[in-house]
Amino acid sequence: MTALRPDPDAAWPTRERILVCLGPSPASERLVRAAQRIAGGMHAPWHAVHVDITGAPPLSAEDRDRVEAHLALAESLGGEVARLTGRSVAGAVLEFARDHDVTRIVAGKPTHGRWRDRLRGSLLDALIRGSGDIEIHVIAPSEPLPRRSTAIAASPGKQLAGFMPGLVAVAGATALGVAAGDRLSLPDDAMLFLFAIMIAALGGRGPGIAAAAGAVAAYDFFFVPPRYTFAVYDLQNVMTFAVMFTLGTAMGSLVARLRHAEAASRQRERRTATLLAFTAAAARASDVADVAAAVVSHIEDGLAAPAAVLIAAGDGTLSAAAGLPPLAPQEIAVARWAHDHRRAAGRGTETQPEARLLAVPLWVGSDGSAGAVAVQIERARRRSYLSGELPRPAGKAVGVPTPRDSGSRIGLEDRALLEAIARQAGVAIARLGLAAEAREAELRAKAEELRSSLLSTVSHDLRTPLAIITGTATALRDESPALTQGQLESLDTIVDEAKRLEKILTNLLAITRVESGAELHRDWVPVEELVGSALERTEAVLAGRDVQIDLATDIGAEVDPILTEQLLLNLLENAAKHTPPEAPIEIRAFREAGGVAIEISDRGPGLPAGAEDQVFQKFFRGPETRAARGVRAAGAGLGLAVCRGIANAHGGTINARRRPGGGATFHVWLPGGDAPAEAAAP
Amino acid sequence: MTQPADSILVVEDEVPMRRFLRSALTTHGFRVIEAGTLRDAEIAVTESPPDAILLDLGLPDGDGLDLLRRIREWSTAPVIVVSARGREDDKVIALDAGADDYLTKPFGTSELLARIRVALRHARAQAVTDDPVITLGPIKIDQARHEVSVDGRPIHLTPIEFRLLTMLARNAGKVMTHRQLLHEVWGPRSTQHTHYLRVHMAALRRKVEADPARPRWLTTEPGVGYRLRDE
Repeated sequence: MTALRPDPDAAWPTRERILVCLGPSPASERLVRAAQRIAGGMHAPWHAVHVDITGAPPLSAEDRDRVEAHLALAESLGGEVARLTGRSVAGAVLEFARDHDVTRIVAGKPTHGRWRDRLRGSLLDALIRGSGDIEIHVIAPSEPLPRRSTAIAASPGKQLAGFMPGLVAVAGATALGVAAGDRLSLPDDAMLFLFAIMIAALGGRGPGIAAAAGAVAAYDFFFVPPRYTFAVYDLQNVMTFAVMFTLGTAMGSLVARLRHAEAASRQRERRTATLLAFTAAAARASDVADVAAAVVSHIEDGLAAPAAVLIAAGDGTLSAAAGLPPLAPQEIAVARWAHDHRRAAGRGTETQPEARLLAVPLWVGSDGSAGAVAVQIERARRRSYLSGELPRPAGKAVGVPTPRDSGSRIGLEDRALLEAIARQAGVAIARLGLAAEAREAELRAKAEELRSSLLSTVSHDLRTPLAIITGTATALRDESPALTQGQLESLDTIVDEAKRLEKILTNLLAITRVESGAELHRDWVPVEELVGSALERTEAVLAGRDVQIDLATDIGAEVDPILTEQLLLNLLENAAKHTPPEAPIEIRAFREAGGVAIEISDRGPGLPAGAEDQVFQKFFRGPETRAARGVRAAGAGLGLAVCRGIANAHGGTINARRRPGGGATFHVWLPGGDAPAEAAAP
Repeated sequence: MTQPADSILVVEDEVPMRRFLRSALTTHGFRVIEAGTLRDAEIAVTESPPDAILLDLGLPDGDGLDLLRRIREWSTAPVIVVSARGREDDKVIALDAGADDYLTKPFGTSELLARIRVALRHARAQAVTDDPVITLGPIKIDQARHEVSVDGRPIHLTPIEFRLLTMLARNAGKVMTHRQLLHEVWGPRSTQHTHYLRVHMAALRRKVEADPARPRWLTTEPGVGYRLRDE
């Protein structure tokens, strides 16, 4: 092997990544903190893993809880948590490390005696040997640790039941041997006992050892000369005892291991099937309620525990979407915490461990949670595939703790299943949300497309004839010297009416635009400029009229300049239309309530009482409009409606009031104020 | 009139509209070439280059903007685009792509003729060397000495206001888009900051105009830009 040929198995780490292996030992807490410190110093992401050895005797419930607590601690400190299974701790850890480009592994210093490593192989040795380019950090425990119990005792009844077949077999072998008397030789008797031990060992390790001990005693007492004493003279017989004992122990262990492995794999299968079935159901779901119902039924199926799904609404409140048991307020609070913090809460976690339920957030990627799944652990029914189908290794507590084990706990794998379902549900809900959003966006885009194509059709198809009418009439008027006064007036009428049509068209387009919610091209525009261009376009309408202008200096509005000019233009035309030609018009602008107020006041007949709001309605026409006073006052009743539409679209307001001393004041408020700071400097 | 008549290419698909334009333009001494489609227009432009082009942006066989861009690759003949109100974005794009001015439908003969005359004058003036002193109505700008007076009364302008005013004055009668003004006065990186422009235009109006709320010279083209009137 040369340095030139890179190891194909070698990962290509681009940056530091830390991994810490955790076990049930209380020293693991120190490991978690050490890993967090190391990772923090390097600004590196870190993982905390726990490995379940396939086929190994299970951890006691107490140890499970400690492992869970360590993982939860790691999660709360920012670590990514993973639960691995493998044939060996080192193998599983190294595989995970390579898959995730881990550069450093943090492991604990062994706290047990040397003999155990000799017997079982040392985790550290295996890690170091297999680590390749990954660095291994070994952390020492801070203080001597108390010894841990590895299992809790099962009920005495169960224990005794496990020993029965062995007892019967050994007794049977003894009876048979005694009955046969001298017809059987000593080795034949030994064979009988070996057979009995084998039968007993099918019950597991304990019964195997017990049967071996019993068989050795019975064989010695009844068959080995001198009979009816425990004395042994022949070395050969001692060998037979040893074989019997070893066989009993070895076979018992083997059977126990096999059974456990079988049970665990059946359980895994069941979980995988549940998860698969759920994934399929979630993919079929057409709304959030379907997903929630699938979550509840599959948790019921997989964990045999009643569950409830709470979905977060747009305003952040959680509401029950599925699940039979109504949750108490404090239970909803646990679910809410899980949703808010995106971390499991309740029984078996660090948050509210005294709660009767375990709540898991419905993950939506890394940036949110769509709600929570709450599993009520204490109400979990005893109907369980675990207790029903799995043989319990006699003499010992159960394999994988489930909600049923102690009636209050949820096992590592069950929790992993729960979290996987919650994660899938979150993804399904997010997918449904995205689909709905996409549909909505598509509809909006279609509506917008329709609107803009309608607008361009209208503006082209209606404006072109108008332009031709206007153009032709002006050409005729300007180029024919021999027209009579009447003919000239007729031509003026044609031009004016075409202009009026154009104005109505412009207003129609403007109202369509603001009512469709099309985006505004906002900019900071000086009020002077807005008023100035509106006045320019109303020059003809306001010709000869006294217009008083009083604008505060340096104020502007954050508006769409074209629409706002249209607003002011409509107000000015409205004032011109409804007041005698000699009546003055006043335009004022000033700062008001964090924005800009523009007021256009006239000295006309004012508004009809009670019509202050009505005037802004579409197609409203004041009574005096009809009583045309020499001023052509016919309109489509759109002008002021357009004004209100434009003001509202900007988040502004418009209102009309009767003016003291006669006339009307139209008051417009628009967002705005001083010029943006960076523009003020020359 | 002894000099040959200026030729105007009218690119317009509506026949009655073309008829009106032809009648108005020929009456006022222009020679009119007509094109109803972009293809015809392109042929007409290459066969007998016109003095000015009147281009309707809404043509049936394609985007008038494409024609404008192709013409601008080799010709400096003034182009006036014709478009409807409410399509200010189209106008701005056309102006920034090299159009000289625009007409908003509907328009009368006087407006049409005024635009064409301004465009032709600017096309001619490009050949002549810049006069350091520009006079527009009461406004007198001495570009060499950086001095401006209104009605003979000297006014003090900031450097930005001076540059703004001279840019508009050099293009007097023509619309200048926000983008063009920002590019010339502030530089290529400030073309989005229209509020800079609005703030300084307001200040400039206050110094130049008798009534800044009713500007006589520095007029606003809403949504498009500004124009310094020349008459």
